[in-house]
Amino acid sequence: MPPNEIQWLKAARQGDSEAFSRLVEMYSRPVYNLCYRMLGNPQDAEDAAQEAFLRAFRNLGRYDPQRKFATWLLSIAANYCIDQHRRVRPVQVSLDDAPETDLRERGAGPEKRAIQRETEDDVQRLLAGLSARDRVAIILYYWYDYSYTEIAKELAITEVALKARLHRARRGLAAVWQQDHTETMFAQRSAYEKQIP
Amino acid sequence: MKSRSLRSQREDDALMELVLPQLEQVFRVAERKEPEPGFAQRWLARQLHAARAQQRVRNNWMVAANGLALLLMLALISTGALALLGRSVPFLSDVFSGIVAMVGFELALASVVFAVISAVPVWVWLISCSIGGTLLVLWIAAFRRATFLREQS
Repeated sequence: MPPNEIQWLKAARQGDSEAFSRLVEMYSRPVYNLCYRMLGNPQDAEDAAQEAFLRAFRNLGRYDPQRKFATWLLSIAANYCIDQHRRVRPVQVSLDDAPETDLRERGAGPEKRAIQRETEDDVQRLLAGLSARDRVAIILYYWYDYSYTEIAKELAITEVALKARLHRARRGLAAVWQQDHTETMFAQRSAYEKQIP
Repeated sequence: MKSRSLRSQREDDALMELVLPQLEQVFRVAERKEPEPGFAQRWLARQLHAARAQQRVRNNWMVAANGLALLLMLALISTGALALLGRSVPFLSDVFSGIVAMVGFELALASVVFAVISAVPVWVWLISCSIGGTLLVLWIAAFRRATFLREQS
């Protein structure tokens, strides 16, 4: 844990919200990314990430310093997103409606942009087919490179249960992926056949 | 039946073997999403707002709890007072007659004092007051001087 983080945590535990806001700055990206991948749109992701940090601030007394702070934060965010899923089925926003500014700012060419958008589309469509619990396991495994032990601890399940969950999720994803790509292949082939006189 | 499920299992495994690397690749290359700039500032504002709302709710609960406690206390006091009044009527009548006797005695004493005062002529009062006033002024002056001298030393 960086020395600054320890100081900020100490101050935040005494109720110093300014100190905690530095931790917010530090961890906003991983928490936001998790919320975005879980909920599928920027507005809900922002709201969920903000709420996760609020909950973390209110419950700092329960935080065990032996544990990694980032892991603890992500588990709060993950549980909040699972609760949100339970309450309301999120509306999936098409990535065609999403602003492209961030990709343009990074200087990506039109071809690269198109590929990135396609990948984004694929990712969100694949994740949308999973249950909230399977989704969080997949996200933590692929985006955060956490070990089985860490993810299992975070989700309060056994490692065996986590492996079963990941296997089930991967199988579901593979089925959706194969279906999508078979359809694309067939569509391309029929378009090609139509062009031939 | 058994051979069918075995076949389906094999198909599943083949599918996983074929598709999983592609899937993993898609996940690994997908970009990490970032919030809009100023996330921490927005969080601070939200935290402040939430803290105020929490304080308001806490205050409302305090007011409600205090109001309830006050009502209960008033109800208890009035019930107790009524019960006490019912039980102690003889005692209260004794107290009341005692008060009446005391007022009567004090009225008699006042009439005697008035009689004595009216018997003394006005000039005697005037001279007594002047002497008393002069003595008081002298005493204050002497006291102040003595205090001043002590402070000086």
